[in-house]
Amino acid sequence: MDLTQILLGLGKAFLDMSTPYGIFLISAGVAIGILGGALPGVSTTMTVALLAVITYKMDPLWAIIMLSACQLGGTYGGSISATVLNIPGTPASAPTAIEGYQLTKRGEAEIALGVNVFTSFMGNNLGLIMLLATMPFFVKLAMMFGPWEMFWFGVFGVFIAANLSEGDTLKGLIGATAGLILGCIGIDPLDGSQRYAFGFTYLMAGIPLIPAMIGLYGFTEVFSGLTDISVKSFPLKKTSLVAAAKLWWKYRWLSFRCSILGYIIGVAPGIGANVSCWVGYDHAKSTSKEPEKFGKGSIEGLIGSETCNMANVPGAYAPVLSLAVPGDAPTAIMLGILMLHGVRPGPMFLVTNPHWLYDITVALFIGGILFVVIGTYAGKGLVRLFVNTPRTAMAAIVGVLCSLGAYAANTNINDIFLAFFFGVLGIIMQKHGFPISPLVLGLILGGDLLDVQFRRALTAGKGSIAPFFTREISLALIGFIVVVLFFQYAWPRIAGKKREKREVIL
Amino acid sequence: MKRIMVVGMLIAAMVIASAVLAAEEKWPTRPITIFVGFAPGGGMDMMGRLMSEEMKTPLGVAMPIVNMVGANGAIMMDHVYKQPRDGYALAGISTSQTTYPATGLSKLTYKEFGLIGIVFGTYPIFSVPWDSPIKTPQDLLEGLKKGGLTGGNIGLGSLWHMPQVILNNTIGGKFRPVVYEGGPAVALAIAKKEVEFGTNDLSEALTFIKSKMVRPLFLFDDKSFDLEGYGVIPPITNFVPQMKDKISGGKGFRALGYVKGIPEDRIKKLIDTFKVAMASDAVKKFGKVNLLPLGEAVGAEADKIFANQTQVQSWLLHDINAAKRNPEELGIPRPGK
Repeated sequence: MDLTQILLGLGKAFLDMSTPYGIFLISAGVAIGILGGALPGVSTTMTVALLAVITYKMDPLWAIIMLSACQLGGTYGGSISATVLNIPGTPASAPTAIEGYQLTKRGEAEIALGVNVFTSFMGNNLGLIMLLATMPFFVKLAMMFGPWEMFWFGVFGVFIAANLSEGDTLKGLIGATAGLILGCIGIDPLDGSQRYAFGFTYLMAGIPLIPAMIGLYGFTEVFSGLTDISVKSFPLKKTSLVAAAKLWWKYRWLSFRCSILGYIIGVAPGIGANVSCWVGYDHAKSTSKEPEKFGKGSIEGLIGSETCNMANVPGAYAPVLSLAVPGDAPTAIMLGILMLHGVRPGPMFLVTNPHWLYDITVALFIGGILFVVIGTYAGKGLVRLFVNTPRTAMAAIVGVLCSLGAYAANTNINDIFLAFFFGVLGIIMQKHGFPISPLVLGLILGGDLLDVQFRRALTAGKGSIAPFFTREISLALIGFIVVVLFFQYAWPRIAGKKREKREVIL
Repeated sequence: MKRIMVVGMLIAAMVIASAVLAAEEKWPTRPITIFVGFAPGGGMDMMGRLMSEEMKTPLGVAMPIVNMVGANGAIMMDHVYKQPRDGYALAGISTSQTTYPATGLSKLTYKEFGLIGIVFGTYPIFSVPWDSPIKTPQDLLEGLKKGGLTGGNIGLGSLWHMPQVILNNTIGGKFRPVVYEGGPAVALAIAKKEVEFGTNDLSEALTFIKSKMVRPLFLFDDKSFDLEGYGVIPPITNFVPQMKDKISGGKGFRALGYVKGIPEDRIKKLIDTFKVAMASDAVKKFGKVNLLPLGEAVGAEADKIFANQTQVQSWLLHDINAAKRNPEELGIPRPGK
């Protein structure tokens, strides 16, 4: 397929998507997605699943357009509550909560929201460009990832967790290990054994991620708000989207690199935005000239995680359209909707139906413009509503939202108790200087990525560990990890010694 | 004054009582929730959404789907079991639940749950990578007898594990199971040559078969299937005749169920509505396009299938030492007893 055909296809798609019906569907999808993503506990997946109900009678392509716009809105929407309330609306907004909320505390909530929205917009667009550019290679790309590669992603994730330790690496690793162990609670997906479930049906499903995160981030903040009476409310400096765009431009190369990372992670089925946000965040921290700002309100941290997050969304469509295998949970729902409509994606699907790719690409692009508009006003409205509210009152409101959110995740009352437990755990960890993020990342990685993929790879390889070190992508990932570790730990020491030597000579 | 108040209260009580009685007679009066124990987008979820769409109009109420994921549906079953016996909570039940007595995930079985009807059956196929050195069904059977082949499925006691267990138990074979998240993931793993063979639903492998990445060797059935654009997929009974009596134990189903104890008239209404839904064009089209055989059993007949499969599969897992619990602990008799 050549450039002329692609441009013609995109041109036709623009005409189709720009009709009143198209704009209405995309706007509705984005708005509902932002609302669902911003509400704690109502994840992007759940929002897409709820919206899917009304798409049954629609034409299948329009159904997917609306649901993909919803996914886009939801992925962005999670950053609003993460920034304003310190409750990640979706697990993929956890790093945004770390940096965005610190900015909110010092009155820069609008700057944080502006950076989030503009960065997300650019991350989405960069991901869409890569989606079009890699179209001929979709099948090959998605087929390259097996359990060996997923395991190395998990290992990389552990090193990211160590890097999130904000100074005390040992405490960070303890937190990450605790997260990995907690992530193993439940039924072993491979052989059905119960692990640390003690016969309780509730624990057999494992520790649910969303209630745990609501507890660790949200309830922890609630307890702080109720006990810290020194801060009455947060200040607010007003700002514009242009200022946010200028900040993005300052860190544009970081954004480009993170969009590539996010897109590749999106293409690999089964990893998803929950992991890619941390990869982007870690990359931003590792390459920053001001790493000491991380954890205290770093714009680079926001750009790294949000770009990676949003570039993930277009990436997830590659395996869905080319192999009928979902890249993440929302695309799994879309695949189900396609099956309901009798549409079967597969290796030949885009060859015979290229307009699907163009229509989805253009819809996501238009969706990006719309979430900038809707998200900017929604975010500002929320900020101005809450920032003038006394902190103790805010704590009470957030406490209610946390409880509702924890329940909404799985409609299980026990999730509220679990969230509360993790809130108490979070407070204890904070008091003793243990960072929360490594535990969260360990929880994400523990059950599915590290343990399950390792054992799946071993059984598929008949007990041999050779494929871990001989498959091409595995070798590339090992090389990538070595390079990252070198720049993270060895290079600062070498650079420090060279500077000392130069100073001595001078 | 006092008399007027007493009379007024009596009239109010009578009005309320008659409204309640009227509501009781006119059932349902509020949404009926279908609980699905698996993630949105999967086979069970799609079945639930399809039936919700086709049953809501005849019943006159909405039928929202709620996904309660975890422990192979055990969390969902536990939740539905704890609901009032009023018919407003239904459960998506599949073969995953028939192996609970052996897998130990739940104590709930066909004794506590009944089936409104079976929506879809399955066409389990055994497949290999397109250019695999395993060329024929006989090659695969020989490989299984020798032992050591890696085989993809979706977990102990699951829809695609049981056909593998039954076949190997019959021919005295062994294999190394490699577990994936779902049938489509198994098909992808076969296409990527991560495993030497795999079992999943024909519909889940269809796109890979048509793209010449996966080659089906045989169907776990006693009838062949003529796949348009590919050719005839032979039944396993062509190669292992003694499988004829064992097929039913390994064939999966996806059904709509309820907790026993609901009033009989409500169960009857649900079954009648179910039959209307199953006769709809939408359900027939879904089955045709996605190559899913439509279920035929409703009510007591479906319950018999549920009970039979629970007994067969749970005891089979026990007999090959793969069970985490003895089915006798839940009073599950051996099949035929």
